[in-house]
Amino acid sequence: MIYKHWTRLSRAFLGRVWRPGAYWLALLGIFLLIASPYFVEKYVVTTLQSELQKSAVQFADELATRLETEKKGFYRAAMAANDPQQQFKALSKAWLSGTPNVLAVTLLDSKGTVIQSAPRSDRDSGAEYIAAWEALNQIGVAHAFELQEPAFSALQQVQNESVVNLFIPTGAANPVLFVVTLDTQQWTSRLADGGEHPLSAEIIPFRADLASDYGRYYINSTAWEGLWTLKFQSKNPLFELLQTLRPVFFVLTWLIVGLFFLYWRNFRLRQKAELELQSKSQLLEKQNRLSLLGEMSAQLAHEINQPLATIANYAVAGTLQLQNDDPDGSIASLFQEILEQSQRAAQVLVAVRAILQPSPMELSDIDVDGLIHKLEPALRFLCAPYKISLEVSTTKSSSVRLNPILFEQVIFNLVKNSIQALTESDRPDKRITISCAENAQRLTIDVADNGPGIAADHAPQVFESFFTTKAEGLGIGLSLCRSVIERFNGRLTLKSNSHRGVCFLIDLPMTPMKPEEIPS
Amino acid sequence: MTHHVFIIEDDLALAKSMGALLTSAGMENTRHFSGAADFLEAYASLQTTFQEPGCLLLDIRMPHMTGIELFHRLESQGFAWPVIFMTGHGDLSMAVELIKHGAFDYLTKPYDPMGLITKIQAAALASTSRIAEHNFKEQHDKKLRSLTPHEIQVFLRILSNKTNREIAEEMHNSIRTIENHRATILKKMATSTALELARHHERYALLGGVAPFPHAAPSIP
Repeated sequence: MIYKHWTRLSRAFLGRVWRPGAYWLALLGIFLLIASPYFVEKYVVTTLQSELQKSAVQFADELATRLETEKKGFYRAAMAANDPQQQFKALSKAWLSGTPNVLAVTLLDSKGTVIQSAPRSDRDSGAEYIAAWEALNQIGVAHAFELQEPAFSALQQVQNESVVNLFIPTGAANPVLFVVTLDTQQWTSRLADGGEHPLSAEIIPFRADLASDYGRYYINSTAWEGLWTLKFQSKNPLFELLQTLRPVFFVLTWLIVGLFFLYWRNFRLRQKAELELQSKSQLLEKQNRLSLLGEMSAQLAHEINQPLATIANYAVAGTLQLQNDDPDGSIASLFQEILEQSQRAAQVLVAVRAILQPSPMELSDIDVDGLIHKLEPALRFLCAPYKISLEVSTTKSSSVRLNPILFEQVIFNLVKNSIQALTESDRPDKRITISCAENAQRLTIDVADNGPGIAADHAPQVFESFFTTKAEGLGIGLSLCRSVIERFNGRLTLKSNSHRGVCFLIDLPMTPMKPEEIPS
Repeated sequence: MTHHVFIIEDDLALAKSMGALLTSAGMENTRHFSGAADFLEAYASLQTTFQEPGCLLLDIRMPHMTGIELFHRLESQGFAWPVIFMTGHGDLSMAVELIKHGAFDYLTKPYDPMGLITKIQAAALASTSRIAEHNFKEQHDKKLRSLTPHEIQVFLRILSNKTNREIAEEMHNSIRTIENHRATILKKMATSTALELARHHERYALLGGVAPFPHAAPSIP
């Protein structure tokens, strides 16, 4: 039901609004329809991503400021210490308790040897944080010694902890370094705990490629360039959802494309078939007029020739009888005139026929059942507007010597007659039946309808030329059909006629099968 | 004596005018039939008339049975008169077909009445010899049928110009028996010499006769 509705609507659209301009408009609409999931996704992702980015940048700034402040605090205290080894205990205690992210404080000499170490109260020792000497640690150490300013090491993994060492030079004559080991988890814990932030952050080893995608965002601030990277992940569930839905969108898009393509093809094929049918039935109508014109002229010529011949006969008979008692020949010349004029009229008919029937009819062995089947769609098309159903039943192929175009016209004319008869009927099950049967080397074709039938007093005259009951008819259709069928050595008769319908019978001699065609 | 002209034509007015025309031309023995059925009905009672000279004018286009169908039917019944066809749409192929099937002539409507008269006269003239030929053929046929199988064997050998001795040797009969057969055959065939017999049979074959021998006889050289 819905499909039917939709089909009708879409056909109305495609059929009426479909013009070259509208074609492109429709194509654009279809493209948008297909691309819409993609655009929606793109829009959502972009909006969310920019929100994430804003929050992330803000957090990174905060972190940078905080680290700078801490660094300055440590540095100031370290520079104030004249004797770091003496003051280590006091300083480390103050730092460990003062800042929550300090894991341990260590004192290094210029060779990198640990002089003293103080871990946080819940840690066993602090030395192992810098025990793992790595290249990036050494750079930090060298930086602090050479430039006499605090320097961070790269992010390192120690005992499942992500830590960063801060190397702080001292103001002492002996070059020693304070090393403050910082727990990076502490930096981002505020985001992890606090529910108000729409994102979570993580310190990860440095990465140069900062391409962001679904809810992820990376920041390398100048404060920690090359040492670590700040990674943000949005907590918005939409990101997750979009990512899960991505393949669904993909499939959906192609599904729409595929369905549309199929629908479009179906529509085009249907349209083409319809056009073909239409042109075929138009062609039949045209052929009907043209091909039957020759037959019609023959019929007309016959009808006029008969009286002309009669006139000529009487004229000559008169001349012959006058031979003895017409001394001056004046009456004989009148008869001669009559003869000449009748012959002149006959010549005109010959000339007309020569124009209308330029070539003799060509007969060939045709498979009549195949021919009827080929004709069937066009006939159906003819019947459709009047809600008449057409039933065709044929035998196996049977060959008859005939002219296919003229034969088609006969069937076409009989069906047209039936349609005209049925339009006068108001029964709901209007039906035309064409059935072929084979009997003793003859092929019989019934063309029947269930219309009101032919009036009893008209029935004997239906095949007569110029007999018609139709206001606009010439009365030559059936008589022409009969003369065509007779040309194929067949017969066209009225098989039955009653108030329940009419049945015309075509009886044709079949071509004898050639010996090699006879099935064994 | 004037010859007979039978007209088979479904158009009454045309047929009547033709009757008037032919009567005026001196052919008084014209008769009109309105269709094939009409003619076939009278056919049996007209057998003696058909022995006299005459011709048949046959319209091709008629309801129920066409002229061609009627013509084939008459042929199979041994109708001897020449037949002139009248056709409304005379295409050449049809005319050729008709002449090939033994039609005497054909006319395309509308025809020249004087031409019609000429053709009828020619046909009537031809009818005399046609009837004679037909009668000869029928009689010869009848005679052939009267021969016994053994006589047929001898008859065929006589036709191949064999002497009594040769025939006797071939058939393992005495010369006397063959001589008797020869005499019987000549008597039955109403001829006096073997040469005459051969000439008659040749004429019979030329007229399209097929010897009604029960077995496929060796063909006559």
